[in-house]
Amino acid sequence: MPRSQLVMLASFFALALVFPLVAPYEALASEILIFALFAMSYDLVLGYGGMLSFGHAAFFGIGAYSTGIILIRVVPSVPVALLGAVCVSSLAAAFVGYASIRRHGIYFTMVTLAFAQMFYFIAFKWTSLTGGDDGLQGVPRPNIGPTDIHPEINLYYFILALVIVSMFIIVRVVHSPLGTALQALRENRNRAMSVGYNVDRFRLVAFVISGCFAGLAGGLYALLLNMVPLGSLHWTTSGEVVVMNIIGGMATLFGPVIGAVSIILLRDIISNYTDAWSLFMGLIFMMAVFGFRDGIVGFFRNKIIPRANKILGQAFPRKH
Amino acid sequence: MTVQAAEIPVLETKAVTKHFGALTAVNGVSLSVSHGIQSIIGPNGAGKTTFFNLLAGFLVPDKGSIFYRGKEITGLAPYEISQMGVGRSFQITSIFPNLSVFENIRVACQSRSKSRYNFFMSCEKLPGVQIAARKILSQMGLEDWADSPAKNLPYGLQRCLDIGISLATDPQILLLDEPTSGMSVEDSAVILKLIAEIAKLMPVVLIEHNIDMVLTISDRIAVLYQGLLLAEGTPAEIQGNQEVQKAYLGGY
Repeated sequence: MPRSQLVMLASFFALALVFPLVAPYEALASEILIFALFAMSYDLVLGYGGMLSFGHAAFFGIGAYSTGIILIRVVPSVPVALLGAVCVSSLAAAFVGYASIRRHGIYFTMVTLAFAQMFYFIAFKWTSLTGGDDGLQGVPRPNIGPTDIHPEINLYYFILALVIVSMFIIVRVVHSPLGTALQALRENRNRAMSVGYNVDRFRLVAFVISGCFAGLAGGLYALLLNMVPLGSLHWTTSGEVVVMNIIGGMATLFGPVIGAVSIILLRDIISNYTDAWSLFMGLIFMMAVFGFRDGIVGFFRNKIIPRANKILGQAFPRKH
Repeated sequence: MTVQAAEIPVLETKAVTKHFGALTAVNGVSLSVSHGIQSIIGPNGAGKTTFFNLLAGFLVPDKGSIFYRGKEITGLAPYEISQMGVGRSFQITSIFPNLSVFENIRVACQSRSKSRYNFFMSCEKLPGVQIAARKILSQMGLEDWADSPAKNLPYGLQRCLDIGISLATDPQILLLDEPTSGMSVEDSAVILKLIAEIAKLMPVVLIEHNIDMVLTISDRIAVLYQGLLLAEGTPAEIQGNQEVQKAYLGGY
């Protein structure tokens, strides 16, 4: 694991520890953490795997619904519910991945979107289980051992602990044999095949790992909201996570995290003044696509740091 | 060179045919490779690259079969054929452009590791992979470029890297598709020397346009013409073959 990413992870942790003190309100801080994890898990698929999945809301939403349903109907235990959510969303990712991974480019994107829409309509129609259009109401927050997670600040730190552990695992995945092979086959599929990599299997494993953490993020979202909105499965949620990745910078791991933080913070701030916040989001997205192609992280890496180096005389030496 | 009846060729095709629509790109080609440098020559469109893609599993023949050390490999996926020990390079430079030069080689070495699906350990801890990659890197003379992105390499070195990636998979036989295409005379000489070195360790199947070069370094030459195997033999035999002269060498 390269030191730079350990430093990023440690800095993120340090900032996140004090974040509730400065965030507008604690639940917003929790929401930011959840989407940071969701965005980072998606980076495995888009940035490192080169697969534009347009159906990642499916795994987020399935994680959220599984958590809610387990807590309400099966057993009021947060660890069991989250573990269940992770299992169910991984299974769903294995299923969707198996069916879509052999397709490439736009066809892959369309198949993932089609599956996500299917899950959306199942949740929409199966009212007795999911609450349909109203969402799944009344998700409890039972104590975890002796800890009461009803206070938002307690829940925040519980979420933070899980998010940090998950992020650590994702960073390790990227630098594992599987992760490095994944980047090779993103770079040159034919070459990867001709050196002996079973391309589809690597793509599938990465897809499932990504779906697993997207599901965990979804489960935490259900705890945070005390409900599961139907919108968690909507295609706009898939779109949002794509945008977070592109604005932050794909294949950088912490770029998507920065993308998630900025989008959710901005949305909260702008929506205080106007209902048309999505218009501003659109403008920001366009700026990102036209102005800084490699996202916020790429912008710093390619423009700011080299320029600063010139001025400061290589104060920040940069490795290739 | 007489082939003993007991000797099993490393790579062998039996009447392999491939059509693309109405075009028969490869037409009933039977060829066997055991050792040394086996070149395949022929004018543009003769079916050389298609034949290569059949050998490496990138295309499946419509008729005929392909054997690797006596085992049928017809229809196997490229990664399976690679895992058995068939390495290949590409006519158009095929590397991992945004990965470092070292990583290009390392990831190819890694494909032979049992732990290649491991998603939690650090890839640097794979036993032997790091060392093997460094060895290939110095063999190819690429140490100075180890940390640069592969796309920043000069063209000649990119061709070297392409071969290095194939070698990194520890192949038993190497298929090289025009390794010197687009290279200067000096750079070609370097590659030629390298190929001669490699051929001491494993059989090499070589597609090449440069006739002078082919006649010098090949042990055997196969001539493809409009998908057919026109002739096969030693360089001297090929040079003396009337049909080949007419079809390809132009009275060379």
